[in-house]
Amino acid sequence: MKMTDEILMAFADNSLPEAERQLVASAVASDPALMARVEGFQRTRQLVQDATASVLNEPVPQRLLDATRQDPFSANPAGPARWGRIFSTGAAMAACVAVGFMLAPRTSHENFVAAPSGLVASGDLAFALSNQPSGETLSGVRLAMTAPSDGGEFCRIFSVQMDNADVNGVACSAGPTWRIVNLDEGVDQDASTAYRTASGAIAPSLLAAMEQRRSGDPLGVDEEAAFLKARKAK
Amino acid sequence: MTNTHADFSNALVALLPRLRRFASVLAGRGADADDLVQDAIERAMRKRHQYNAGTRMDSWMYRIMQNAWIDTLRSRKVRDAQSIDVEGFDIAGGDGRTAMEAHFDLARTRAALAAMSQDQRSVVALVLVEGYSYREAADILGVPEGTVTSRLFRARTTLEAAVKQETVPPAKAGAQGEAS
Repeated sequence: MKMTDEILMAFADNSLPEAERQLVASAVASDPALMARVEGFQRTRQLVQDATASVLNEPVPQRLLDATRQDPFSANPAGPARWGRIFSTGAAMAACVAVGFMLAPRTSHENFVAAPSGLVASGDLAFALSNQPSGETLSGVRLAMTAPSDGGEFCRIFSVQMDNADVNGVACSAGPTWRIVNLDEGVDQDASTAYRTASGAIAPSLLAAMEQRRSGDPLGVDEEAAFLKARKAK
Repeated sequence: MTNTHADFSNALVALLPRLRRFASVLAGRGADADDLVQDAIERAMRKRHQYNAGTRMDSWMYRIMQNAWIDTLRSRKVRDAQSIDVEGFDIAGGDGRTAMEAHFDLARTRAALAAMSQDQRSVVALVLVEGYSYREAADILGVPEGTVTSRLFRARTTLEAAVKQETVPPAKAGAQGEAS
């Protein structure tokens, strides 16, 4: 067995299989030159341990302790942006189901359901997406913008009132089903007042999501009315 | 299911000092390292149902942290091409020269860590700091064992050079060079 640097280093780091380890151990024990090389590796290991050990004795910042206590599925200040990111980056199915699970108990109307392809709109939200013009609020659902997307789809920005928070998002559809492609949960009632009263005050994260999705200009009032009428006719 | 939410949180709290040490090797000392720990904790909290109680939580967390760090570096690269490789380790303060001589190896080692590539730092953190075998480190990082060996060897070369360089007095540097 040739005592290469790699083998001696692996020996110094306790990473050799037992049979090899014994071979190297006896070779090293009878050869001071080999022993010196092993000690060199042990020394660099010790250097790194010494140089990093002080961190262990530092007080842990409170924000890290807090992070271990937070329920990631409850509405918290860090939540909305993260959920938005998860969905806008193309949503693992698991995340969709998790959000569906999170939202379902919070509404009596089941605005979201988890489908195999991800989260889809249902109940009042699905009805509003298919029928309600932007700017109107009905049954706690408000629509804010409609724009064409790729593949003949249309996407709409919506806001659903659930308990004391608004759940905002973007849904897209080419047929009967509205897929939820972006969700931004947790805007509290006070903060959402601006969103309700001023058409220009749509959450920036949703506008950004819509910007990524849309393939043409947002529909004007008449175009949107025609779009909704055409859907109904299908 | 014995792994309740509280058990999970308590186990994470117990790991925090080591998670911070791991992060300090990857990201340097300072706010970046704690941001990385926080990112990893938040990721772990969201996917805690994926954690198998009874397996090593530290290994699970190091893998999460490694991935979180790669994501952070990628997003920074997109934002600006600025390298952060040599940031972080604070080796020379106001009277840095004296402090450096007093804590000579410490400072040189930290400088060497800061000068290493990200790949090398991950391997150093797992094998030299945390004591994982090459096989275990390879599993956590998702690379072949031979890759761990070669990265670690290069990292050690950097360490040796950094420490040796300054322990040789300038006058004898030439003689030392010829002898070795």
